[in-house]
Amino acid sequence: MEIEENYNFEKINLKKLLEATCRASNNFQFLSLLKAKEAILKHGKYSKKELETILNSLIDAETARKYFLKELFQREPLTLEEIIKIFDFDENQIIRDIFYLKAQGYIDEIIESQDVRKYKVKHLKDSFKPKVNYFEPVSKINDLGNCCHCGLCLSLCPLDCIDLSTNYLYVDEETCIKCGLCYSVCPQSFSFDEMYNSLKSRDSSVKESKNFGYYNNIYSATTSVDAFKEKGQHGGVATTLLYYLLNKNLVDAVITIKHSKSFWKPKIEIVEDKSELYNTTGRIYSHSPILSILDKAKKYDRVAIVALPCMIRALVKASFFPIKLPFFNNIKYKIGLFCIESFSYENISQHLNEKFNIDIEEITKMNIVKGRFFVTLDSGEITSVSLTECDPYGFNYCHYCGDITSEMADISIGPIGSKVGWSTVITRNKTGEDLFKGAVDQNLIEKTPLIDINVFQTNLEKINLEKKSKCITVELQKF
Amino acid sequence: MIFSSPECKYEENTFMELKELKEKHISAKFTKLENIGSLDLKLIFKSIYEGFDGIFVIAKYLDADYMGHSYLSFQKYVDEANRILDKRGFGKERAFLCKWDCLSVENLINDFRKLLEKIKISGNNPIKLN
Repeated sequence: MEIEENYNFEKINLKKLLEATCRASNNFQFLSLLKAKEAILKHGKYSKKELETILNSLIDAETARKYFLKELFQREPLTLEEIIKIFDFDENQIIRDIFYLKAQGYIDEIIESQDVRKYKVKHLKDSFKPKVNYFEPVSKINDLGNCCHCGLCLSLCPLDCIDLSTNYLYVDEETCIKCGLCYSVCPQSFSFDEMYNSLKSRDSSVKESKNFGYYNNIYSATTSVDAFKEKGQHGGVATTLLYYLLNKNLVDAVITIKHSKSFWKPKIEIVEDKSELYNTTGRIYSHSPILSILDKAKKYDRVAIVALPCMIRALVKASFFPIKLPFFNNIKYKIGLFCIESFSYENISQHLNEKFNIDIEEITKMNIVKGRFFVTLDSGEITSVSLTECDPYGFNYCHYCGDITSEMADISIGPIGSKVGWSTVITRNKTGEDLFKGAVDQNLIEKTPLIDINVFQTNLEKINLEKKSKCITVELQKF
Repeated sequence: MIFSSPECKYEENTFMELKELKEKHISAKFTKLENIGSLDLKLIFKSIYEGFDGIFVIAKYLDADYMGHSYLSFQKYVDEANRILDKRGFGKERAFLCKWDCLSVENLINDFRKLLEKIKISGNNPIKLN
């Protein structure tokens, strides 16, 4: 799903274009970054070229939005198809911007029937003045218990004023320039699902499942690489795909998680050498803000990343709002893992101590199978506890996340639906399909059709319903 | 369009008497800016929208270490406005920032002439043809 990076302003009447530019120049994100330009460049996270790219991207996108608003003002409600016909722009850009304007409160959605939705620009009173900074710093998201600890805001913050640990996300208000970049990319701020689904539903090359999203194909697979087979948790497919990418020189580096000195404490790692992948094999159930390392990976032209569903969502959202941010254009492969619930290292240690009376360092393997959390000890003893009992130790956000199968990844991998030692693999676009087929053609991965897609769907539905039944109400007035 | 920050005191006739303006019947409009420490980009875009061919911004230069002074903070806004205008097809340098040192009217005039030269290169404001 590619969105044109540049807007085609050439066909717009110059007067209308300048009027829209004039209104766009008031955009708070653009102005905060411009005002703090010297401080940002002095800090050194963004180069002059990168900052100018961001400024360009912001002013162009805002110009287009102001132009859309002006042209659609006082028209009757229109469907997306009707709106697309009015403008000489890339249709994906139009869809993205209409939904962004809706999220900001400038456009109303009118649901005429189950299949017909129309959009109309709100008539705002002349006295209406939008809030100067309508994006709050992301600490608000964390204060409400919604933070998924993906770490993307840390990578992006131009002045590095965000600090994230297991239990808190802190924004240094004195350093913060209120540019709102962190809020606009945060997967937990305003929703972009409707926009994403509108874009995806126009892609005739993919099928849709209400339980696991848009997809091309679905397989059961296991690694054929002996080294990964020994350590791989559910067939070692993710590690094998990374191996294939590095071996065929399709990427310069991969971003993944590996065991640290404290074995179960995850360490975020940028791996360039395929021989180092052995240390990344096997699932670590403690959560790590893997996207916080993206700014360190910008020196690579082509990168692959393995991440949880919430993190993949963050990456996809950041590719929409705004566009052309540095650190993202080099991510060529998004490999998503299935995830039901995630735990911090500290909480998982506490949990093991309280429930099993064991030290985390005694454990050789952790696994989640059929709603139970299993641990294997040094002694070979295996013990388990129901996942429900683990809930208090999980991230709050996990309790109402509905994305189990990394629906926005290029390719998703997880054990649900496949036999022991195998993983279910869902390819979701051409990138994912080509990657998987490439690894299979090289005899690195063995594949079979999924035994029973209906069983897979039923299992997912059951897990989804169970998760949704635990949803908590977020009191929006706290904002 | 000539904008100047509040601390810049000059005679408007200084410009109006210029032979370049008289000979070519060029008109100029003078606007004093509010002392808000930054230049509103909207002012530049609005002037172009209204048909002005060039924007001359006069800002007082104080001390290089004094972060809040007009000249340095104005420069980036003028640069940004020029960059955006160029991208939108209005030519490279329609806005020009002049450093006002309170002493030399000659420098002010020279800078103004530079702007007129730049406008000549960029051509008339295309919005008038639109």
